[in-house]
Amino acid sequence: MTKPLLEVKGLTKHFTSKQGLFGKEKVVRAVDGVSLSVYPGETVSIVGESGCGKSTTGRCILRLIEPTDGEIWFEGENIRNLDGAELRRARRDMQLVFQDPFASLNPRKTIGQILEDPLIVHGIGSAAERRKQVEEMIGIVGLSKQQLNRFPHEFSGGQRQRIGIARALILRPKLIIADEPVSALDVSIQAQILNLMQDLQKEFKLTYLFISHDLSVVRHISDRVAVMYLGKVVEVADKKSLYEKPTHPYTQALLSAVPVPDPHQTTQRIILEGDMPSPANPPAGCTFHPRCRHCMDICKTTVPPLREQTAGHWVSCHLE
Amino acid sequence: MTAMLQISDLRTSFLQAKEKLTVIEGVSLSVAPGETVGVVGESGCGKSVTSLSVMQLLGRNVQLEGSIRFQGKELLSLTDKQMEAIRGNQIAMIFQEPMTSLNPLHTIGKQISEPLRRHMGMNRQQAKERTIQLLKEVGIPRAEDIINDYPHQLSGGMRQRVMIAMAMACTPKLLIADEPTTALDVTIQAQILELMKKVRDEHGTSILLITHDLGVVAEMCHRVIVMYAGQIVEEADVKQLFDEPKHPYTRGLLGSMPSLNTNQERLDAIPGAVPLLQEMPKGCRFAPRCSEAMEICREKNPELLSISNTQTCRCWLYREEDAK
Repeated sequence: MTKPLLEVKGLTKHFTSKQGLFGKEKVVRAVDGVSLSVYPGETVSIVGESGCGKSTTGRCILRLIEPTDGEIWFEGENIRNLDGAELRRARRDMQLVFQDPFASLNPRKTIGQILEDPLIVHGIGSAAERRKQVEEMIGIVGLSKQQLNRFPHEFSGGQRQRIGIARALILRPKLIIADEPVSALDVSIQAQILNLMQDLQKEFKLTYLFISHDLSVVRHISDRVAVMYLGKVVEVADKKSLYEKPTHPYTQALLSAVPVPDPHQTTQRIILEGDMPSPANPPAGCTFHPRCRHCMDICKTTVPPLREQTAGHWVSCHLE
Repeated sequence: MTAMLQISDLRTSFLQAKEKLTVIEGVSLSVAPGETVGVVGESGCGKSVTSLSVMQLLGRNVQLEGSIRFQGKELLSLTDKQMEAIRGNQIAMIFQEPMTSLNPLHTIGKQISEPLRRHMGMNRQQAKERTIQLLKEVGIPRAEDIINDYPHQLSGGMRQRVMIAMAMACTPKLLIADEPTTALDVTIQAQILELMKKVRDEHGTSILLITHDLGVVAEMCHRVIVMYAGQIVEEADVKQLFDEPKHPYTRGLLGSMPSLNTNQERLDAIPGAVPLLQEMPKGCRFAPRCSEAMEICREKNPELLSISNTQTCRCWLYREEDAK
């Protein structure tokens, strides 16, 4: 069996905040022991609702946010032990595409400069060589060389996301972590970007860690899917198995909640009561138990471990 | 039977320094009593401006032409005072972003009781009782305590429930919901859609639902209007729209959506982007992105054409004799 490109073990990020000078320290468990492997060439998605910790997980993997605990193995190296120049070298192979194409491009730089920056940071090529690479890359994402002298505000949302992808891709990374790359886009533009990402994956043999709240998009793009709830992974499986046989009650509710664009279909919907609890004060036991239809006594006291129920389908639930 | 809302040939223009930008070009639509009509389209297609035109909430630098009739009464000729008596009373609105559309400085209770006291002439005590009752109807626990809370103390889903309670306060005949669930997570969206259906069925409210989400449309609406670049391009019964979409844009929209239930290799994306207002194409506004565009499409913008009793479409494909 091939070795995973990225392996995350027990990743944890606790944010602490103090209320007042002598106040008690409050701990927000944004990410609470996430383990995940991503194999070369595959697309793994992390899906969940706002506040479940999916974006924090993505950023911790790149150490843009310093994790509290856990191991991040990338190509046989624990990223958490790296520093300075070593970390920068490792990051060359793992790039990020951000959600908001309006906020993630520097408005005072031209597209050419934005795309060249990563090359400069990593000391690649001469000015002429860099220029050549930038021109090539802008073509690959479907924009033209003539647009390199323009500023981000001159582009539409979809075009900006193409620029964001080009910037991530210019270092020819192995892994791209895409944090909600299409959520700010209209559906017709979203389809263009998803198609582009799939084409690029084939062309450059990329591995994607795709973070999204949109279950339909995730189904389209992923090979395997991890569902997160309140800082924990509650279910991981290959796409087919997860969408056809969702096992965790939260995954079931999540899938049934998506409105289906078919007026003939009447969905049997599982309506969850209430909101997601605050990660500053998560419920004891299984964090989903206050909203779960199948809640048993054990759920209120004991955290269910992530167990492999059928081959490759892991669920964290006390139900058999 | 008079329509609850009848918009005819609406043109909404923004007056800027020297320019007049026409955002809505000749939109006509009607909503029957008890009916839910969806308006779908992407950013900038004019769906929100249409709804704000009905409410006349667009401010001073706006010119509204055409006719907007509510239960047969022309709204565009009303004075501000007369319009105020209708707004929030007979026509209510739910906005997309419950954080920015609730006043952060007033308690929930005060905001919901305002229309009750203003339009229904209730005194403080009556209004308070009715407010608690309304909050309970929209499924807010501890309604007696919540009325003293401020918007920032509630979650997004709770705030949207408060918005709905406020909109339903005077049992309006027409509810305009502008992307009511877009800012919410799917499980909360499911709760809010259920709630809107319940409210609609209990009070027989007509709803004009503005959304970009075709899933929400399929679930909530009886009839659908598809807008593109300020114009209606297709109108159909909800089943017709999904079964036999006529306009290439509608087909493109449906093809662009990844499905939750089936695996597709590739999405049928629509190439290009929506044209800018200042650069509207001369012919059909969708022609530059259309895979079926013909010569005439680039020359002349087609009229809305009736395909059947319940379906209209703005496309030359269905008017071959004229195209020649």
